[in-house]
Amino acid sequence: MAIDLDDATLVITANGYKAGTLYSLKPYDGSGDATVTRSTTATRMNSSGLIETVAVNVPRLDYTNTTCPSILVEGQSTNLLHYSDDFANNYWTKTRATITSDSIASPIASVNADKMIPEVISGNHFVRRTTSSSNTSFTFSGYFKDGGYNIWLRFTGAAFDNRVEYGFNLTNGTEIDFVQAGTITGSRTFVSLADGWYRLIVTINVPSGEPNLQNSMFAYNGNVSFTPDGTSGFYIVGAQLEEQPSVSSYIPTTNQTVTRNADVIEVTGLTGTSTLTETFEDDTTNVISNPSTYTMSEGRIKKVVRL
Amino acid sequence: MAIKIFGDGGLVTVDDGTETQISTFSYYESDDSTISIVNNSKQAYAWNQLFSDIQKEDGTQAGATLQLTLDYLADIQLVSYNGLASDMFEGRVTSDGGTFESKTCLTTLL
Repeated sequence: MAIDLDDATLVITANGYKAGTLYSLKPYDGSGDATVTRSTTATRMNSSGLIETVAVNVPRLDYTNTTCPSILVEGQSTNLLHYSDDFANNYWTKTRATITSDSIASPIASVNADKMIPEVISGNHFVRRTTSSSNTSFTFSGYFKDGGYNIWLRFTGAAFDNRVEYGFNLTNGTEIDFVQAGTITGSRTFVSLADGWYRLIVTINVPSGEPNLQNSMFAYNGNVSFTPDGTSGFYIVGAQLEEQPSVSSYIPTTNQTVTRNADVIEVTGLTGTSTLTETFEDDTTNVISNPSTYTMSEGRIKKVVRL
Repeated sequence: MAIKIFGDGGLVTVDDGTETQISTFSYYESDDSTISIVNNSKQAYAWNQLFSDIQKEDGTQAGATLQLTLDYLADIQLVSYNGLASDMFEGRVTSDGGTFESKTCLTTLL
């Protein structure tokens, strides 16, 4: 539906920005421009389909799975996993597996993906990291691509009986299986990206008192236990574990956790009776009545129109 | 005097014998039969016309009634201003040192 520019007193779209500012289409004189505050860098998917870092206070026009951008507004989140792009680092435990660093181009700009290659030993083959946390809700995400074998993700507590598992066919982009066992529950989804990449997303709910979350990424060839060929594997980049029940944009890390601060996008000085409508990327809307200060909601916002 | 008012490639063209193109355009009804044309800054143009004198590009009357004439002008206005908005916005953003992206998407939204 077209925007009624004649009647609208404020129109903001995902088209014009600079550090600290998201420009309003209307009013034209700049009095409706939104201020943008985010005291850390962040990432977005650009129009070329690559994840790139955006500077402090720069609003994010995000093109994830769309040809037209949305304004990406997110709360604060922390990637608990270190070395999110470097699985050869000793931070990651490799069992009957080796890592070939920087093997192929990845969806992350200027970052090549590693290849996990199972050693030619019968058994299971995986990369693992255990994270200590008292939280009860986590979301794991990572970018994976077919390298000859599929991927099997497993998240366990202290006991193997309590776990969530997500098997994914990287050749054709379909789920192999999703398992919930014991006291740990969860959900899963994925995002298809260009060049055969998939962002796999698993939300894990653990019972209070569980001290650890063990995250294992297995090569899968009809089973997690098999005898590999020594060359096949899977490609991986951008591992992330957040203490929240939903995924957010990628937060790259090296030798420590990294926090992305919240996006705060505001228009101040609004007067009079008005109805402000936020339209999200999926065309759902949120209506705010008579705001004097408008603070953009979290989500992926396509347009804001105040009448 | 009859004048023609029509949309022309994103501009509103007012043909009063001189074929003036105006980039911002609005109008208001000043009484029961007269329509005054102003730009979007509410600065009046010279034309104050009886609705019956306002014609389309082909010379036919814009509307048989005042309301139908206003409806016609509203359509022209919408096409015109929205068509120009992305260009005006791009100019403002870039001249302020900002980054402008996805003009095609903005045009689609409008």
